[in-house]
Amino acid sequence: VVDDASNSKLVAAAAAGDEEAWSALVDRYTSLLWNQARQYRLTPADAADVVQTTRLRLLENLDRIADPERLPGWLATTARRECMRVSRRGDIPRPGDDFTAIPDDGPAPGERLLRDERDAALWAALATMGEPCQRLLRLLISDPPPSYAEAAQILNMKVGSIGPTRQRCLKTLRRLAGLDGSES
Amino acid sequence: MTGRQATGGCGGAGRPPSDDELITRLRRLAGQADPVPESLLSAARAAFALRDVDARVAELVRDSAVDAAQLAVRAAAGTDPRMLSFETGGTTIECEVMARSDQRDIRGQLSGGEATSVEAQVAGAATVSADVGAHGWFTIRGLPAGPLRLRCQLADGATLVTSWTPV
Repeated sequence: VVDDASNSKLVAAAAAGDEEAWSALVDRYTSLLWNQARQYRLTPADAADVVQTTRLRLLENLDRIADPERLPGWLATTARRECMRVSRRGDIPRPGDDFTAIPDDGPAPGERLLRDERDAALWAALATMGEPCQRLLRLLISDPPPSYAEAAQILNMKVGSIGPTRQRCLKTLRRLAGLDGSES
Repeated sequence: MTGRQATGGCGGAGRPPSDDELITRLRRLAGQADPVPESLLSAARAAFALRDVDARVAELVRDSAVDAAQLAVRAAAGTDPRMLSFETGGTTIECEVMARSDQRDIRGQLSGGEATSVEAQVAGAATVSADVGAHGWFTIRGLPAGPLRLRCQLADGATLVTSWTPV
């Protein structure tokens, strides 16, 4: 039952001390936040710190979330800010040291873990896409996936443009990955 | 990856995958290539114990790491300590964070109030306490990197915590 509860109910219950509600709330967005942090090519350790910090910020603000139905947007904004913070902390000078929250063009995270050549090609093709498509697709492949309304909040887009953008991005991806039938 | 000849559609059926099939396949690949770490999943529930409803939260108002980025200053990473400032009401906590690979040393000062003790909590690690010296200065060495919160006991009985900040 907790799994289907609205964010408003879960936030209120968690604020009142209900640990189950807290777990449900956190589980709902962990994959989404992880995908977001990894999109900016943070190391796994840095990305984990971003996700954990974002959760702890939520915990600290449970009583103060003005509109729990805007929670996905709040979390994504918090995570984005923390991505920038962790990328600049520490004692290791970063190449260029000019993190601008734009995906780079290195290999896709974990690409070498994919044994199937077609899987690896598809995963690599996603990483070569422009920022708007990458952001949307990486968001939509979260587990559990966000609703279109949540995706719209996170990306600052109109709900009505999520579907058409998804379609357009997937068409491009199909072509980039050679899955559009043009080569068969 | 460029120039690779892909071999037809999903499952080799020659039919291009539908939008939903492609999304499902990408979700599976994300789970294989870049899964959420197990430690992060198990840390979710444990984090709830870190809730501190009675403490006043001092918000992070300045972070030299981020300020430098916003000013497009090419900060010399690794040479200057990072400066963090937290504030609530008239109370301020200023910290200097020195990084040595995965360890962090913190030297800080609480002003606008009198602290009797300070402890550093790093999520998923042990809590480290420090004495507070003259003028509110304190030093904490050898913290692991990770999300950090300082918890200060004030002389008037109140508890003050800093907003969680990754160091």
